[in-house]
Amino acid sequence: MRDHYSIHFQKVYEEYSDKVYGYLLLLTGKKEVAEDLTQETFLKVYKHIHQFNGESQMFTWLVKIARNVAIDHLRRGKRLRFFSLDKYVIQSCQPSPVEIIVKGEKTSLLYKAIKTLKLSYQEVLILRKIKEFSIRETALILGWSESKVKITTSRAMAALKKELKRRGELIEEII
Amino acid sequence: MKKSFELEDSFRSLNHIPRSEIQKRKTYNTILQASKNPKRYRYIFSHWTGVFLTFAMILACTAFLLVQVLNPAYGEQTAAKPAELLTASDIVVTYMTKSVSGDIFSLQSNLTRKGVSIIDDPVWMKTMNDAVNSRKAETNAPVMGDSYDLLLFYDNRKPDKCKLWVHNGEVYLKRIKETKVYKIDSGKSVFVTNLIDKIEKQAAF
Repeated sequence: MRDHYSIHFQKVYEEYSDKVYGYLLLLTGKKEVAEDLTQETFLKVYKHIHQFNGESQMFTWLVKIARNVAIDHLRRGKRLRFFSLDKYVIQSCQPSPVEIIVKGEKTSLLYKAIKTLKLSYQEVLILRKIKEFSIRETALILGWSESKVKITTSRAMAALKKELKRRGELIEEII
Repeated sequence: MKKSFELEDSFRSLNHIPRSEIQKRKTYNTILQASKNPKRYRYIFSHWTGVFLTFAMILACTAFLLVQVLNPAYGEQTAAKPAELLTASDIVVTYMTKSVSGDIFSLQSNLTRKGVSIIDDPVWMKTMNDAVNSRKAETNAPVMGDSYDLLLFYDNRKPDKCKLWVHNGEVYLKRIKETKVYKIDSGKSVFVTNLIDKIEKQAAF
C-alpha cells in the first residue's frame, strides 16, 4: 500500500513539479525560493494526495496548493520587511531570474513589467496568460468568482500595457 | 493582430522555465526523507525562530528599560548634568581665597594675585574630590556665613567654582551653579579646617 502510494506520488512529482516550479519562480522571482517552495508544496501534496478528489485537473489542484504556500511566504517576507523601505521597491528593482533573461529581451521586459504590477494583477496574468488556465480554473485557484477573474484580467492587461508603454522600451515590438 | 500574437508568444515563452535536474532530484529526496521522518520539532523551530528572536529582543529591551526607569541613578545623588557623570575625574589643583560676599565669586581671573592660595595637598584634593563627586547633598546644611571661594581644577573637565564655609567644626561646600550643599566627611573636617587656618595665616587673605 505504502509502495503504491509512493509510486503515485513519484509520478505526480515527475509530471508536474517542473511546472509548479515555473509558476513559483514567476511569482517569487527567485530561483532558490521557488525551489524551496516547490519542496514545501510537494511535501503537502505527499501528505494530502489521498484528498484529491478529481473535481479539478491535478495541475490546478497542485497550483492552488503552491499558490497558498507562496502567499504564506510572501506574507512572512512582508512582515520581516515591515520596518524597511525595501517593501516599496523590491518588486521593481529585483533583477529577473537568469532562466527568464536567457529567453531574450522581449520576454525579460515583459516579465519585469508584470512584476511592477500589484500582486492580484500579477497572479491573474500568470495564471490566465502564461499558464493558460481557464477562467473557471483560475477562479478555483485564486478563490475568486469567475466574473472577478474576468474583470481583473482585463484590468491587469490594461495596466500591463500602460506599464510597457511607460517604460518605452521595445513597446512597438512587443505589443 | 500581429502585435497581439507577439504578446501571446512572449507570454507562452514565460510558461516554460528550465529547472536543474539535479535540484529536482534533491528536492524529491528531501521530500521523501521529510515525509518518512517528520521532524516536528525542527519544523516548528525553523518556522518560529524569527518570532522567538523577536520576542526575546523585545523582552530584553523591556527589561533594560524597566531597570533604567526603576533605578534612575541614585535619586538625590543624581548628577546635575549627565555630562558630569561621564566626565567624573580627579581634582589636580585648587585655588582658594577669602570670599568678598556670598554672592560674588572672586576667582574669575588673575589667580596669581596676592591672597590667592594654590593648594595641591593630596589629602585636601582627595577630600574635596570625594565631597563633590559623592553627590550626597546635605539636606540640613546651615546658612552660609564667612566663606571661601574655591576653584577646583580637574584632569579632563571644566573647573568647578565653589563656596566653602565652616560651621560648628563641620565644613560645607557648594557649587556656584547649584543650590545643593555638600558636606565634607566629618573625619576630614579637622584636617580641612587646620589647613585653611594655616593657609590663612601664610597668605594673609
